[in-house]
Amino acid sequence: MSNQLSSGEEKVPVFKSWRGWYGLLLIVLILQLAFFVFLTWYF
Amino acid sequence: MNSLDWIVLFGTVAAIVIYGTWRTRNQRSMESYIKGDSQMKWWMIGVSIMATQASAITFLSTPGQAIEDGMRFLQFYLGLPIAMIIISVSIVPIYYKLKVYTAYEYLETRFDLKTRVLTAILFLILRGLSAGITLFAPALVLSTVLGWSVGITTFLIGVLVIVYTVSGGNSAVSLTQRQQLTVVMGGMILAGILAFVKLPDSLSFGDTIQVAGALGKFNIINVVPGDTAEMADLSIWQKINRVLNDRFNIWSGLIASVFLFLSYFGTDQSQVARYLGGKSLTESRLGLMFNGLLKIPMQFIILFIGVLVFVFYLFNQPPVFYNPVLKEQAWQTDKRDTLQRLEKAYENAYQRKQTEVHALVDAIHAGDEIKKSEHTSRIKSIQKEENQLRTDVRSTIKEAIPSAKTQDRDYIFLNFVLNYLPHGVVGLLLAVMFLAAMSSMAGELSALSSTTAVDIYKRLIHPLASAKHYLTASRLFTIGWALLAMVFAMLASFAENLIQFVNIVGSLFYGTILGIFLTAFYVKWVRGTAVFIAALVAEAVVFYCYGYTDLGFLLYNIIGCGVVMGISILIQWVSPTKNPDTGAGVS
Repeated sequence: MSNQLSSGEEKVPVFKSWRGWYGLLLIVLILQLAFFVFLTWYF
Repeated sequence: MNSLDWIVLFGTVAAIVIYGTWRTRNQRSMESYIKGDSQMKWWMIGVSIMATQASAITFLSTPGQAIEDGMRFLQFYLGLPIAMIIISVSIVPIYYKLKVYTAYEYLETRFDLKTRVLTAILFLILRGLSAGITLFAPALVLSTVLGWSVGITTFLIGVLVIVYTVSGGNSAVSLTQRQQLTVVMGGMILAGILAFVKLPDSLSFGDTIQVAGALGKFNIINVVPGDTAEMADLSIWQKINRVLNDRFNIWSGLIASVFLFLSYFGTDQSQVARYLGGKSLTESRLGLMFNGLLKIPMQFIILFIGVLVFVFYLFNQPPVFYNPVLKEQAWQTDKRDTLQRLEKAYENAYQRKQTEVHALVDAIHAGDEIKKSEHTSRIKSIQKEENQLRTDVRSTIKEAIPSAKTQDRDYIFLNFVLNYLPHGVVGLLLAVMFLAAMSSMAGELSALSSTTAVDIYKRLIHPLASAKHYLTASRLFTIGWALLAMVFAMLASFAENLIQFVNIVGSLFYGTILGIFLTAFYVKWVRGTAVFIAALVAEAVVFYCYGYTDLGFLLYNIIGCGVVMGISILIQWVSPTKNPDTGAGVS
């Protein structure tokens, strides 16, 4: 599935492609998970 | 409630309704009514998505959930960012490419008319029921506070939503949602800050966290449900069964809820309309990323406010039963003596607990781990006693008034607001419940109306009418659905906890709807008739599971989706007309 509406029309803000945004979302999710695991384990 | 609270409550609600109606008064066609002016930026889309999802039920029920059950409900939202990514990659580009008004329009291009209509009808049933519940929760709250009947408060909220939704359509919904969510989150955070400020001076923020943590409120991640030692004695199948029947654990959060959110955000018109109103595909995708980044922190904040209120109630005597109206009624029956005896025992238990809580704080200050552990275990044992007394009170009330809804979790946060927060803030927090209900109900009504207008009325009943005719029809459908939701809210008998009931209703239909869409997107050779039959079978299977099994409701999403995909593939495979489909619209 292409990320483009039609070739070359969509300019992705901040990152080079949408993969950057998806990666950011996954990293934030993993960090949140780590924080929640820490809270659960610590208490 | 004093006059300041009334001014804040009605001033806030009226200002948003009047502003939203005035700003979006010039609707000329069904397109602008349903899609808005297609000028929404990413942050507006993100806010609108979050405001549609978060109803008054979220803000009433979630803090109570944290107080009784800790923060483990947060796991339910862990699958949301994953769903946002999948929708952004697969689904949004297709909707943009086909320039659809509703998600179900796509299904006719891909399959056939009957599949489009069936899916639209499943959505209308699901969303119509949910709109009733969305309205019922704050109506119940206000009726309790004001001493009015639920009917009057339901009517008031419903009419307010009708005013700006009928006038301004999707634009009014999105515009008001921005102001509503700002007030809602501001009000909730203020309540959390005040809960902390009202704690004893000797208790620092760190102490508060330690007390809540020691008493098990930060049980966010559950790998196995229940007691770990108890689980160790079970066979592998018993363990799996226990995990499947548990509503909130890491597995249901990361796997099953992905399916629910995929279905909700990808195929539910009340959410699809939010991002289809975007200025461009890029803005819509960024709006989804915004939701994926902020939703979990937002739920964390709401649950954390519940934890702060929990600690507050360790230092302030809570009532034995949180619904004040029902309590007063029950205390006037012949069960009065039993209830008074139970209340006295509850007060006694609280006095003992408070002594232990102060000792626990001293142990935390002294860094004495042994004493900390001793006091924690004593507090937990008293809490068990308290819980048993509350259960006894609930069953006694049920005996006294058999028709009573004795689950009072949804009143816990409200009890704190009404009895301990200063005037003005009480009005603001009640406005929060009003606005949250209005924002999600408006999104739902707008989607119900557009689906009825586009997928049923324009497609099947009156295909060749003027733009003005369709605009009038869309407005009438909005009023019709609002009236239905109001009737449903007044008549319905609800499950024990409102927020979970909403999620259960969603799960009964979402799996099937998602299965139809996933087959459309990814199994290009399956055709309309196969998926239509599979959807009917899937719905029957899901209802069977609901009626005759103990499976956790999140699993219905996977089952419904799996049955649609599996059966449709099987039917198409054995069908003599097997023929690769064009898969229109899929790039």
